[in-house]
Amino acid sequence: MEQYFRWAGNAVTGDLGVSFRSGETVTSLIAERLPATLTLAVAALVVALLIALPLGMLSALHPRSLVDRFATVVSQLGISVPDFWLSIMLILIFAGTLGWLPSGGYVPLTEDPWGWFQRLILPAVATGVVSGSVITRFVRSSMLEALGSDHVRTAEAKGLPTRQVLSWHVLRNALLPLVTVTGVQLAYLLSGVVVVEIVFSWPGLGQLALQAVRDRDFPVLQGAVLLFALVFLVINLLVDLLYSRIDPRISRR
Amino acid sequence: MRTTRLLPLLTAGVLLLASCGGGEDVDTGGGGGGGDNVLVAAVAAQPDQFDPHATTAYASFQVLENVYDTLIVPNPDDLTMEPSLAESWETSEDGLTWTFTLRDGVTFHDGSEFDSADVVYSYRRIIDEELANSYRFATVADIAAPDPRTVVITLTQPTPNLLEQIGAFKGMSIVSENAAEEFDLQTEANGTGPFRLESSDANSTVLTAYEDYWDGAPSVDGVEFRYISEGTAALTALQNGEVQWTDNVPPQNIESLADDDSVELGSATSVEYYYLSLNYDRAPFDNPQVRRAIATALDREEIAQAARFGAAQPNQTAIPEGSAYYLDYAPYTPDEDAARQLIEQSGVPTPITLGLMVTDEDAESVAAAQVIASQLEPIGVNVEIEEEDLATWLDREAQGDMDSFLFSWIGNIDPADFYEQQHLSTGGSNYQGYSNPQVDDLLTRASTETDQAARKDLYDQAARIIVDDASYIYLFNPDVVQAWAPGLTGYTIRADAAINFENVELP
Repeated sequence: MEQYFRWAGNAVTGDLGVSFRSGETVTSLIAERLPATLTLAVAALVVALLIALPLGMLSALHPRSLVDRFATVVSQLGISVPDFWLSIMLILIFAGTLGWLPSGGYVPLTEDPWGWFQRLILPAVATGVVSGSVITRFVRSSMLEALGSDHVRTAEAKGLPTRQVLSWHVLRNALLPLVTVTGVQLAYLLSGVVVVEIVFSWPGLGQLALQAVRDRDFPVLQGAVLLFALVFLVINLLVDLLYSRIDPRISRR
Repeated sequence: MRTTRLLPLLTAGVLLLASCGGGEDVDTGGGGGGGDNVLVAAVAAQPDQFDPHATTAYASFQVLENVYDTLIVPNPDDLTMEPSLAESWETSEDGLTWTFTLRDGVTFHDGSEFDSADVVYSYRRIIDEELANSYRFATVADIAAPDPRTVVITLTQPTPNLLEQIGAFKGMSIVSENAAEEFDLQTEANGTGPFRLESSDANSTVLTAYEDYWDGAPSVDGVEFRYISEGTAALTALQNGEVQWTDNVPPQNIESLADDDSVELGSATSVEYYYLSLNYDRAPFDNPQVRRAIATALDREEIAQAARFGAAQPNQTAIPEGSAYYLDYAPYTPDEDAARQLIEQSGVPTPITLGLMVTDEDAESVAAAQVIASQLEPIGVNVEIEEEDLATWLDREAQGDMDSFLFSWIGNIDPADFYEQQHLSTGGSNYQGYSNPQVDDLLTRASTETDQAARKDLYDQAARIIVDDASYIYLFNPDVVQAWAPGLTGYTIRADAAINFENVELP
């Protein structure tokens, strides 16, 4: 108990202790891994949104159409395909058979921008597909809900151009749940996508945490878990703050 | 990734090829710029630290093997001991004083000259700070440096395997005098080896060639150890030329790689061994006939096939074929009827229920256990496999809380490493509770027997009894399997799994 409070006290000042395994400070270990994780998380989110927004919007605008069915199948697949399998398939196809991309690893952007980008693509796709599939469903359902709401009908009745109705009345209202789920996905990505990081030898926090578990390296694990918790808190806070930006009604209430 | 209890012992000394007397070759051909002549090696894990005296991780020793030297090293082919930093040595009549003559003209990576004070400092550091390998100096009374080229080790009792103790692997590296004060040895290195430690991060560890290496500068300009923990990714990286060497070859891929022209595959029977043992404290497993029945019922070929996809050599003793200490002794032939008969003779009523504890962190153990379960069923032994994580496994083993257990040891080089701790009745790793005065006597006599032939004979006698009593039921020695780019030369795959790139030349 006392030990815990000492740790918590030190943690506030940024001192997370020393790794059992390597003798380095936990703070420096985490700092070393953070850029890689940030890079992958942001890239994966970009991929996810690139998949989710068009797919979700199209299927909401044409419910039960071929596009909609296609989107449903794709997102269902994306959610159910295990990420390690997808990762290995991507490696075998794009690094192995086709030889277009490196099989993994990480190069800092500042050292070799092209190499950085090449190595980023596969892991970003592997993680982005899963997140994108989740977000697609939310885009579709919240768009559908907004489309069916009274004010949209009113706007249409007023004879506003479809484009304006969509961007102002539909999208803006559909954005709220979307921001929430995107925030959750980002927090998940920032907590280190363990499996994908391992398969692609991506030196991020997920890899660090897994190694800490294997080695029973408690200080590192504790530090990582603390960081993950912080990430969730901060992102949820940001999402809440964003709400009032998107929907001024919330701050007025 | 397998965690094995004697992980540090897996590693061993520098390749000291007598044949490479070429001195400093100046490479004028070589094609592209200097940066191209770097070997990229895919390894499975990141080193935990670079202090050779403190680390116990195989990932660290893979790197350190190329950075540090020891006084003596194992020959890469049969692991017999050869000179390295020590040129020659003499033993006194009573076997208690060993005098080592050190090599001249050796320098550390920081330019300082190597002499006997460095040896004394390194060994004293291991002993005085009780670092990972201090037990290897258990019989050492004193280490002295009467002059810069001479080191004298005094012993409390004759220690015939002293050379193996100080030379078997890089845990016994020679660091420069006061290195621990002058360098941060966890992240830096100051050795005498063929490569210097340049840098290390979460992605890779980079070594550069040490031009003034006493045995001639390495052929490559450097080595990059890249961590790729996923076997498929490592093999793909090798196939498309991102890396030129890897030891991360999943056993199930070996067969398909054999016909793959883009990869050259090498394998050697390792000094690791898998065993099954039954707890003497739990009836009826203390019954010699029950033990022998189980040893007789097992088909080791089948077990090796399932556990390692055939990349293993079935063996009924611990030491692999090819070692100077190998004993060709295989009293058991898989025979269901004979096994059933033994159980009948024992008078133990069947079915016998046998809990078999394995760790789920080692896929080979789990696969082996499943095959064993199916092989023992016909003789009336019902195996209940108990999968535990490694920490729990070790815990239960230490408490003796199991009917039987299956795992592997890294035996290393000397027969004492294979048999002593596991089968002496007072042995620190004798968790099965084996006690045979005859074996105790043989092992104790062997540990101080200075005549090598007599010593091997004593170990052979002990091993025969251990196998007959089925203290351990030995299963197989797994192969070390590594793969590299076709055309890569100067690399020797070794039974102790130490990897040394001193003489490697890129295609």
